[in-house]
Amino acid sequence: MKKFLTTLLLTLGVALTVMGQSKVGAITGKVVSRQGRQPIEMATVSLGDQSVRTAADGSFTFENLPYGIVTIEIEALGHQPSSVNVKVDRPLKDLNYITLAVVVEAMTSDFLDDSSFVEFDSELEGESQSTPVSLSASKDVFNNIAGYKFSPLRFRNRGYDQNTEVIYLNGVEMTDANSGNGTWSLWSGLNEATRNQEATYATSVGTSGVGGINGTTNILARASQMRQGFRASAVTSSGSYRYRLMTTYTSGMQDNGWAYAASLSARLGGNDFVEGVTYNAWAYFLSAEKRINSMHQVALTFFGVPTERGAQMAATDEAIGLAGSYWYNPNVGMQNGKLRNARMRSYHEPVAMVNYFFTPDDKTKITAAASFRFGQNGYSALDWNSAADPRADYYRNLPSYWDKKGDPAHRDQLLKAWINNREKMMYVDFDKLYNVNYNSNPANGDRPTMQHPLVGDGVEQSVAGLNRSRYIISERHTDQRDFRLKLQAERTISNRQNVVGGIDFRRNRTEYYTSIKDLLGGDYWVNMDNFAERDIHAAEERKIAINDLTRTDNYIVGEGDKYGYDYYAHSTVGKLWGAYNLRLGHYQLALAGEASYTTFWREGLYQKGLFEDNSFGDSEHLDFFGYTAKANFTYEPNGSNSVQLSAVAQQNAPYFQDAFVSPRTRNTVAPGLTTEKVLSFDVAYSYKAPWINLRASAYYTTFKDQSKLISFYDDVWSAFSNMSLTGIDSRYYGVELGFRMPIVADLSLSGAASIGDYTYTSNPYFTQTRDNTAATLVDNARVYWKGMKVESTPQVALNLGLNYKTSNNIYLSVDAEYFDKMYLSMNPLYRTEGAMSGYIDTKKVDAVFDGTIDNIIADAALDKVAAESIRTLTAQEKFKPAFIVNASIGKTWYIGGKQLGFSLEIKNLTNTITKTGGFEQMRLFSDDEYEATSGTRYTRFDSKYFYLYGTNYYLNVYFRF
Amino acid sequence: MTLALVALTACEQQWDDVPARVPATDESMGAEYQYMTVNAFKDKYFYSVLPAPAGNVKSVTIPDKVYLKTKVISSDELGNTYRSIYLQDANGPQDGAIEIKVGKGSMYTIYKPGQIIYVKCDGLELGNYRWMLSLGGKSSEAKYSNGYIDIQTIIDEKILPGELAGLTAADTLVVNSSNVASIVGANDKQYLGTLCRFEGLESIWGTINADGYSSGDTFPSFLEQIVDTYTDYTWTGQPDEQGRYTLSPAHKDHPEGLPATWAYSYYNAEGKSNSYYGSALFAFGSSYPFLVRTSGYSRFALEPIPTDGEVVDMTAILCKYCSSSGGFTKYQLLLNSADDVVVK
Repeated sequence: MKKFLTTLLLTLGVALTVMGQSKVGAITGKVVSRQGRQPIEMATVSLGDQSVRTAADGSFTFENLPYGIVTIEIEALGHQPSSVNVKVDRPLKDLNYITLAVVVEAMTSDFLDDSSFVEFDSELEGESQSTPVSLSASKDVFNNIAGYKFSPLRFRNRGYDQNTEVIYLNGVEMTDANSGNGTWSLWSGLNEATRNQEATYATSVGTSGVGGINGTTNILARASQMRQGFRASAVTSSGSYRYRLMTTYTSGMQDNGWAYAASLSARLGGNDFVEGVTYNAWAYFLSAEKRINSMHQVALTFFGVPTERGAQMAATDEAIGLAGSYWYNPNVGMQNGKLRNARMRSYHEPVAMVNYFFTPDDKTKITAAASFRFGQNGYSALDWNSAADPRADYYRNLPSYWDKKGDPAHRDQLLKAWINNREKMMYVDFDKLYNVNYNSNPANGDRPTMQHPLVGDGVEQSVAGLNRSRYIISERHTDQRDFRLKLQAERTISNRQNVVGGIDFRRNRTEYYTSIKDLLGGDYWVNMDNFAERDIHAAEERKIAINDLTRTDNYIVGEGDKYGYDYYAHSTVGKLWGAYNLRLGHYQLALAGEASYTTFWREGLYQKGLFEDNSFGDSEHLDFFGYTAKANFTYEPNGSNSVQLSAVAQQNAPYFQDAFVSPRTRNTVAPGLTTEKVLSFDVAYSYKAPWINLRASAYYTTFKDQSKLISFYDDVWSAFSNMSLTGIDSRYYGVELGFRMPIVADLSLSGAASIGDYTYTSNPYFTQTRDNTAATLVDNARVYWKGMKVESTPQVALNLGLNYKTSNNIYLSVDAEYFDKMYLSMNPLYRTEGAMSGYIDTKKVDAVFDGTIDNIIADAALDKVAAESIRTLTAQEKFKPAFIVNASIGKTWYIGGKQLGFSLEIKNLTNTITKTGGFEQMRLFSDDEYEATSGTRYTRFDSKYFYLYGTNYYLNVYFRF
Repeated sequence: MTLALVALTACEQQWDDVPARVPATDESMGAEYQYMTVNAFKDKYFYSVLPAPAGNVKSVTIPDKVYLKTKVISSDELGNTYRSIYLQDANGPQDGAIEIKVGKGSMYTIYKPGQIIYVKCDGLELGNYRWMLSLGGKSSEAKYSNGYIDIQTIIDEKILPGELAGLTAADTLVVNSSNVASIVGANDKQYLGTLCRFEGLESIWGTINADGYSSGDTFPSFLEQIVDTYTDYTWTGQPDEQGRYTLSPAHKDHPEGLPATWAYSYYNAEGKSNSYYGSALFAFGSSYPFLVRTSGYSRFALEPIPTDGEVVDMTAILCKYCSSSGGFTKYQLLLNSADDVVVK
């Protein structure tokens, strides 16, 4: 028996050995870039313990591989790492091309798995907590850290505006037609569906267009590009929404050529810090894709994010102190014992998209795409007509106002009222607003509703017995119809060259209007100008208060009806672009250019009584030619080192939202409106070695002739006031560093630094108008802010983190951030001749109009008191530096091919309370006592701020198979 | 798909209307508060303890828990009253009226003409200003006996809206040439602040010199503050095609003339709004003059006043005013609306 067993084992052993020896194969392939399918030289291809570098043509080979499934991993500078499962089943298997995307975000095994970046869907633009720097959170070592870790303090890459980054979805540009900002809110909450992204950094040429100076992100949100399988996750947090549920299924490309994907999510509830910012946000995503044959492929994608959520308003430090919370939200009030937020964002803007891919040969790729965005986007707010300001933090309700007025007794009495009745004083009293509306009726002594001049007596009769709402919740709409068409062609000329180019076309029509969301217990609203009505003294003058003279049936309006203003913003943009890439040994050159033609105009749908001849119909069509010229030169002496030099020159059309002095009311174009000019230089160095992965860069950028429209509600005049600025110049320069390095075993150190200087370099012009008067309040005056700093972003941001991953898939991290050189957003009004007129002869200001404030003070030879007063009035507030510590823990279990995991992040462990942003109030305080004897003299109103949330958590539990 | 449907229907939060506030009543004043008529209140806390000469500034903090039951007789809807409401005793004008300096704008939306208002007076300042008594808060300026309450929690605690009773004929004191002598003069304290219907008043333009008026007084006058002194202008001749009268002497800003209106409001060359009080003279014949004083901020400021010699019926609040030294005492009338002046 023993002999038999020995013989059997020997026989089996020999047999296995022979079998093994006879089943040995090899694999070969070429690593190419997705961008032009150019070969990638010196890419690292690893298979188990083996590792090879690709040749100049991108090729590699592994030999003597046993039959079976193996995994090869590919890494290359500037590209997204990738891994491929290969079945070795023949002596030499040719994988053909392995395509690497340029810095693709695949998120297959990042440190904290997908939980690291899910926080990006909290959409808090302009509110207390910032939007992320970029949702792409790319593999670039600097961007990966800065994109997330710097976002709590509103960090913006290099200080640039959001509209400098170009966002694409499935290759179609998805920036807002009227502002240029990325339209992240259109797919917010669809993290799984939009996770696969490819990004280029800074001035590099994008994969779907030339891009600008702040990188490009292309979201690959179609079925074949999404990670196959089923995923579900549940989140609870204390710093954004309370809960998030998300589930996604992706089939992957099936044998029949179909791929499909669906995703649903819900974000619900509020947070621990701000009252009334509850989320009621849902999201859906559907995509189907058909590979017709090897040459043709079609994808259909449809998604939307029906959302309603509350917004926070900044508050003065005084109001914050009185309310007892850094996160006091003046938008909130009490209604029947329940908390109600007057300012709710409510939107549902679905996007439908079709993509077509034509690949006639392996060197040519042609894509075509069309998308359509529609739906509605509203932002509610309290509105009132001939009634008292209902806001709890209205300046007269704060003690400091009475202090300024020289009435300390009243100040003290008001302070006492706040202390004793905080709960009543800090909220909008919705019950009271309802009761005002209940009793608003001529039967109770009110004046009869003014007759429409074109209707006559009918109006009174039509509202007889009804209550006229004095207070309402209005909804300001920006409803877009946005059609985009794209054609793109790529051709690999040789192993060293490729060209890519395309045509983009966009037609956008955005309707701006207000509608009545809630009459707050009343029966109707009168669609007339609140303030203009005051100036009416004769029947024949009534029409100046009428908001729309073209119709009479929209004078008495109810819930859902439009009122106030209604106009279209039309824009048409055509772009022709192309890029050429050349690789010569260790050198790469990319040249890219884009020419664009933009035309936009305003079409007034209301003929406003105050602007009878200049409000209805089309404005002049504004035409602008734009271009982008870009050159990138890269030197890669080996697979570890890379140096890139870039230069960009741009001329960009202004955006519609900045082009008219008062777009709500009239067709008047901002004086001096012109194209903005951008010039940017960038040098970057990358080093990748087993002991460190780093990137360092330096940049210098100038903007000239930017335009900006600032609109704010002027409660003195009960109307929007508009400041149209032109000729804004600014300069940005600085350095960036990002690195990640292992220390010991599974412990690694990472860090990022962004140190810059962003400064205004001109004194722009501004024109001020108000929506309810034909007068131009300030005509083309100077704003003296030359030398002041670009606001609302830290100009210094540093990060250092420790990351640890155990062998049993436990992840730990701790990181610290430091922020400095943060400045408050400036109000131009404080820096004008008019504001300074109480202290200085304005002729002296004018005589040195190109000077800075300090020059003006010196040249005018002001006395010490006047100089100090001007400095106080014009000074820009710098926030204190902030230091923040965060920590994370996570674990993943692998159970029979399925994954179950969690991650928990504790943010702001140090409970740092610091200002993250805010603004200066758009009003001047007139010193009454001084005015009585010596003329007008202005001082500031207190600024309003947002504060960083204290210690908060984000817990994500996820499941995949 | 079900989830999507739920999403689409669940997004908009709906809010129910709130219950109407329960009107204050005598019962809701509580047993600790004692009711007084307005005139009894004025007598007890002011006239009997502070028999102030007209121009003096005196005030008293009401120490007792007393309440008034009143009716609103003013409206700031058209802007001629500002931050104050005038309350007349709910029994009628014979029991007096008083101004209450609330300190808020657009109060007509809360305190409706004819609405019953209960005023809890304890802690409020009862003061005079050149003859007129008012209730308010403490003043920080010595020239005023009291100030605006302004603080919402105190307003809500002290000024309590009751039922919407409406104004009736009984709420208006009829004043005509026959009874005017019994209302103005020595007995006027009883009626100051009340809502009166003046029947048969005559509009008088140009210089008058009657009943203590200096020879320099001219009416209508509303440019008095333009050069920081009381400057008199006379409208002469016939109106031009635009209805403007010649201003005499010509004003530097308006040599072309101006329409004779209740008050005046305009934007100057710098675009700054300027508003001036206007004074228009009415009298029963040449006796018993009353000045209708109107704010430049009122919405009827630029409506034309009755021309010289026209006779009108007018419903207005009876007020009295004097200089800081107590001289030049005049009766002033406060209009809620120009519609309350009807040319006969």
